[in-house]
Amino acid sequence: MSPTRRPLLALATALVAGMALVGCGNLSEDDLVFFAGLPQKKQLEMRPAGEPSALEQGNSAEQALEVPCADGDLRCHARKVATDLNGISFFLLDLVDEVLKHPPTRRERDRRVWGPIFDVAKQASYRFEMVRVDDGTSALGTFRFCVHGAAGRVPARLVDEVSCDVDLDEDTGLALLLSGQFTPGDLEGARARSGVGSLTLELSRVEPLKGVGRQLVIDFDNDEERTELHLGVVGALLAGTNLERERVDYDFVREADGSGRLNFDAFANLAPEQPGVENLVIGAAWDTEQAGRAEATVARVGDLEHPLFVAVQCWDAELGEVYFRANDDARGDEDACVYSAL
Amino acid sequence: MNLRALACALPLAALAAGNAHARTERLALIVANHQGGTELPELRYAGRDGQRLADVLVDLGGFERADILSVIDGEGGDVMGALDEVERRVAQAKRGGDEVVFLFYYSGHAQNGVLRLGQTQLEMQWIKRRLEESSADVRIAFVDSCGAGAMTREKGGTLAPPFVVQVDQGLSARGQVIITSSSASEVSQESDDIQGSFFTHYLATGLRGDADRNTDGKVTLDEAYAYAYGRTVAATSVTRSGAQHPTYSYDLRGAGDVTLSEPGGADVVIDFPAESEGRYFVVDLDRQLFVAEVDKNAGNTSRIALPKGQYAIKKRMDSHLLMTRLSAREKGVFTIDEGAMERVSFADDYAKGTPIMSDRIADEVGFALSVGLGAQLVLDPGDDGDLFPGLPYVVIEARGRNLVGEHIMTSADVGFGGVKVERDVPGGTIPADVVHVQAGVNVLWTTRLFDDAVLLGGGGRLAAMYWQHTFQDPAALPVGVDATQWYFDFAPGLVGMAGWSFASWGHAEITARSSVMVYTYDSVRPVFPVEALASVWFDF
Repeated sequence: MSPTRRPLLALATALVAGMALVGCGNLSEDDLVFFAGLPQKKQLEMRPAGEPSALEQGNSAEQALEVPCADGDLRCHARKVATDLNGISFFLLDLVDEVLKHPPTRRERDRRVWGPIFDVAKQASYRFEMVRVDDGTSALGTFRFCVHGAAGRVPARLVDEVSCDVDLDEDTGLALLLSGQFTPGDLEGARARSGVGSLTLELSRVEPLKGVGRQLVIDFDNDEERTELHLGVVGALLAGTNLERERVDYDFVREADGSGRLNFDAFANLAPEQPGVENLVIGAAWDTEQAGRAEATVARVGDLEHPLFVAVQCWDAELGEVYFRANDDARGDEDACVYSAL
Repeated sequence: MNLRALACALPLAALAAGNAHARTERLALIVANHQGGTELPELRYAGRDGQRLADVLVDLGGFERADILSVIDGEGGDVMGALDEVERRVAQAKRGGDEVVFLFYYSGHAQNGVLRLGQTQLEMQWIKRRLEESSADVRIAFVDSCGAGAMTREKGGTLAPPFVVQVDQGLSARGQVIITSSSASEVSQESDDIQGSFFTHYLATGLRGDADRNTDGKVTLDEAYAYAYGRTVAATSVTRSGAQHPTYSYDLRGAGDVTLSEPGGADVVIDFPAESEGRYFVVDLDRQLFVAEVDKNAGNTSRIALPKGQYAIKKRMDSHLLMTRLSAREKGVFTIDEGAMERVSFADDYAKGTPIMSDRIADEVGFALSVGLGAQLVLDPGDDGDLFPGLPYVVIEARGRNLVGEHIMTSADVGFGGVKVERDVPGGTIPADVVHVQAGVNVLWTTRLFDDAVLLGGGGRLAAMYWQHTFQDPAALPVGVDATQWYFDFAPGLVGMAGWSFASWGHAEITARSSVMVYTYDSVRPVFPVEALASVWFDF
């Protein structure tokens, strides 16, 4: 072989070998495992007594909100509250789902990063990250995810140091907006049917929600037997007290047999003619037939022993009211209540 | 097939009408040399070419064996001496009042207008001048060598199809004709199949009768040239070296045509009747020598003249031979009856040693198209077959033979495959439709065995491969997983094949392919697609 042909042969060999390395596509087994670790809406859904799932066809949170509640219909108000809170949870999951419709910008074993993506309309950049931690808590491990955002355009080359552990990156201005984690439990096909997790939204960094509080925290835990949710809004303290100025605590439990209970505890200015804010507490419980009891109490903050207003409502399996009392005015038969007290 | 230079001066001689009182003396000088110097390859069949032509001259051309001088593997000085001897004999015949025809034939190497005789050389123009200076009435030279056209390029040398000798009636032929096997810039080729040079082979076959266009029992100079020209161009046009075009230089005056051979008056004539069709090979069994080839269409008759002897006539069919023995110890015409020919397997061919077995598929440029079925299996050390599952496979392939070289096949193929799979997910499986599309180019070295019935080959391949998974129930997928997953890569690889010819128009093949590509999405790892195919080929 002549010397001049050797470089050509080497070049051809290198070219063919190089072509074999230029494979591209999204054919993946790892994705099917990785994304199975995301919570689904039904895991975060609160369904008070007699309420169908908002995720079922023909039923939505919007439809529920369109039906006004009669005064004193505590069950209806409880449903309204649940629908509102479901809307918040679903919004957060929709946010994650929207990001996941796009291919990751950075794809590593057990880690995916999207962005920074510049939103022209909002003139802001966002970055989303998912990390799988093989901590032995489940077959798939635990998934952590977070969304960072910053005003203006953030160059991609500057975000390498940003991770879910970073609250505020001074170089880029990227601040943590949403964080969460999820440990899948039972799996149904390629999706987690149950699991334990939490979502935290930094309200103070989201312009339209700044006044609501500092953080919104959703903890959820569900399995075959029951669904538990706790939603809380953490706000600033009331001046001179150790009480928070804004606070919402919502606990929800639904058993597999259809029974459940909820407790809503919020600070709100329910009596504008009086100084300060009031404490609204709504509790409810229902049995497998969906018959149940609800109680609402309005009191000054820290003074639940002397409520300003107390109401009780009981309903039967057809969701018809069997007993109602507002302070001292009552109608119906309290003995017809499925529960005598909460 | 070997390239070679041929030079020859063909026999014949002709005599013409004319002087009724003169006797015609025929002299020939056969020069053949296998060597052309250290820088040129040894020729294999130069001597055999000279012998074949001498045999035809004796059998059918009216030459006496003693009047044919031969210089085989001699030097330039030997040729000069032989020409002197020829001239002495010419002078002697002329003194007796005879007309003389002198035929010069050369088969050997030539380069740059010079005949290469071992380590010595003779200029073609010198040979030409010696012929011009000869006192023989008719001088005919056949030069079968590379670049032989240099001898005809001056003074009327013509690269052209056949000429017609037309001389005034009433005059004896006088002058000189030079015919070369190729033009000045072409190589002349010899063939292992025909065990000789193309040009001399067809010249000798034509003189034995196949060139007798007007079936008058005589082969004239123009008939022989026309036949040799057409057959040589056709046969060499499919070789790697390309077509060689015989040329002539004509300076002949006188009456009548120049007859080179008279097969009609031969002792033995083999008659191929009008209904026979195809390519027949005639083998001299006594000498184990291939002597003639007849390639005829139905409707025309052909005749081959031979000396007495024992012959085999054979015809190649798709999967066997048709053969017949011809014991021609007595004078006669023997008509070929194809229906009476016996069926003989390639292995039982009793006329070996003079092969022409091949229909030269191995040498010819050709094309083929195939449809094949098979299966693909991808060896993936990092996966259990979910990503690249085994699947049935259909392939269409187009192939060219000898486009880039002898024994080399080049092809392009496109294939499709598909299968339904259950993709593993943490909580069970999800059904998906897998489609695979592949397009590749192949270069194979091939060889034929068992009388071309079996084709074996192996070579390299470069394919573009594409897989697509479509999940049947996208709603079952986790968010973040597309309903369609795909992967594309180039995959170099190896190909091996074995084929069996079952008809002139086609053959069957089994093919095995192995490729390698690099999967880079979940992890970086090599994967090895392997395919086995069975295909039917249509040869053109």
